[in-house]
Amino acid sequence: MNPVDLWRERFRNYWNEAIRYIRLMANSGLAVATLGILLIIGVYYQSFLDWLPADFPVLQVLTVVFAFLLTRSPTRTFVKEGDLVFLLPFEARLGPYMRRSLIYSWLMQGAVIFLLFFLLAPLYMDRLPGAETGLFVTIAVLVLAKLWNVVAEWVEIRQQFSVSHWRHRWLRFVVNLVFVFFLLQTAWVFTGITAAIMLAVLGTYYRQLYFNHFLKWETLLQQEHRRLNAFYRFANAFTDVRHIGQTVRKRSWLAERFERVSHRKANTYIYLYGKTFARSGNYFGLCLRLGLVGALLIYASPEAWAWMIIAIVGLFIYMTGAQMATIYFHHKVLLWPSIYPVPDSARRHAVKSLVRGVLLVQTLWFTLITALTPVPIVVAALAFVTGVAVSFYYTRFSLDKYFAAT
Amino acid sequence: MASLLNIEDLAGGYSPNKPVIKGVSFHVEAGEIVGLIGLNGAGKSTTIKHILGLMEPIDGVIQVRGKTMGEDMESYRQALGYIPETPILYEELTLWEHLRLTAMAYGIDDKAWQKRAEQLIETFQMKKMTHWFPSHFSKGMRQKVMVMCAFLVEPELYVVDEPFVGLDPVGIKSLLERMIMMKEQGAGILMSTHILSTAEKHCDRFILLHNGYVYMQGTIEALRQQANMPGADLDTLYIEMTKEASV
Repeated sequence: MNPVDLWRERFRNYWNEAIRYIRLMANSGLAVATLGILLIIGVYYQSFLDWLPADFPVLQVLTVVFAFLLTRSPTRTFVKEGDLVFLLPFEARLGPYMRRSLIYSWLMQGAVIFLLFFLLAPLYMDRLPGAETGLFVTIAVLVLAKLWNVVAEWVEIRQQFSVSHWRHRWLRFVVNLVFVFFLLQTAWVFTGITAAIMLAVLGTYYRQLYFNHFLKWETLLQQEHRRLNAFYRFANAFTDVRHIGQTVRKRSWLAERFERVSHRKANTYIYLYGKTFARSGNYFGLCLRLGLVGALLIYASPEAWAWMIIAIVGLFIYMTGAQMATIYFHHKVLLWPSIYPVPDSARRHAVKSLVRGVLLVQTLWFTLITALTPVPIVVAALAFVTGVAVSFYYTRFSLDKYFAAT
Repeated sequence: MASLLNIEDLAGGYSPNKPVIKGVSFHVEAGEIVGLIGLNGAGKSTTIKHILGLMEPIDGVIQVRGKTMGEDMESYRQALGYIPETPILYEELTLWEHLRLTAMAYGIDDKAWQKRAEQLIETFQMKKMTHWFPSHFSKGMRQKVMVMCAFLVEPELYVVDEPFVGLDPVGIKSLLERMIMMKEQGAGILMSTHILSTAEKHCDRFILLHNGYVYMQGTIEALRQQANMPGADLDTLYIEMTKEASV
């Protein structure tokens, strides 16, 4: 097979799968969350800029952020376990395959830098010396610098030991810091000099490094695994991903609570799902995250817009419910629930009670946060009522629909 | 009184046109161990799935104490204890919690289960692992959890699928001793296995499945007579069956 075709096929396979997951995520509240966050950013952006103190070190912070983004330049190679056997003989002919991987990685990571800088453009115009031209030149140069980094990292990982990988990464980070620091101040001359040095290093040191070492397949495989797992873990925050092993945590303080359920047949599944909730990586962590984000938003809501707090509470309780509902399928692959002499209605009932309990605790938490903000106490009371109403509505109606749909 | 487990003319499988098992009839009485013997693909697992009520029969009936699952699901399931071939554990529960969950599901009262659980933990030498999670268990320990859960319930009928694989010799011995103890207390045990020497020693009767049919059944003596091989052991009878049946 021709290496370019092979690359294309791998690329297509990966994205087909990724798009499936993205669609699943979109269905499970990611779309709502993203839209909500974008809206909130949009609403707050100008006031955020006004609020940001004049002595805030914008230059230093942006320098570190972009230097970091530049330095972190892993190449997506789409290599698979089996390549160790099947592609090894063709290594000499894989040049075009790897070149495509490099370009692909550059474009993807360049796009991230482009977007982020674009988002930060108002801040740049406001606080840094550059004007419009400066902005465009800076974006373009940053994206080009990304290419330098992608190539450099690609050469670095040809070395055997991860110690040398890290050493090079740190050095590159320092170089990137200097480079971005000059760039953001539109110090073109210094930027140019740094760039010239960087290119020279690439042409000499890295060139020699490239020829002295050969491709380390194991490293590539490891990196590819890490990239894939990161994606699955992210997707797993929104939907069920079967590929990844869930880590189980002990979390005794929470799990012990369910040890106290009274010993009755009807409580079988309360016990099971309670422990699952407490220990599985998914559910508790998600509730915590949603609780924190919601609390942050409530806390940041402008005083004049008390209704927004109510909307946030309603939305976040609903989102917590939607995340918790998936616990119903958590043990689906296990045989036991279909063997126990316990009716299936008890299982549904247990999921409902558990979800209701979690939502009510979340409601209390949001109410507490609302009470701590300077808004009138009646808003806190309203937030509480809304939270309770959504909790009961969700467990009474939405969950039944969810059970029935699947 | 009706048989503990009674299977009549059972046909079953994943497609009505191609049943995996056909015309299977046998019974298990209280106080006996019955060995379910057959090659890979003979239909043992399918038979077991039907008994557990995980699959609906295409034809025929399965009764526990004279009642099908459709007639009384809860008491049907209540009467069964199952030890699966590959351990099926909840990754989120410790050994102790597995036992408690099982006790709750089968309605075993709070004091009784704890006493039984402690005894079982002792017998199967799992004291150290009582509060461990399955991710730290070896294959054999996982299998022991399954065995302990089944014996904790003390059901009337045990359905045991290939229980010896992965267990260490001490574990196998404890398992056999427990099975004999339960049998003496009046439980019936249906055990599928490939370890024929062990089966021959401990089973009262045998059901030899081949290609989805019951090829022979009865005590070892009856099997010898049917095969016309006096004095033959189960291994020899079994090999002979597979030869003959494939002609």
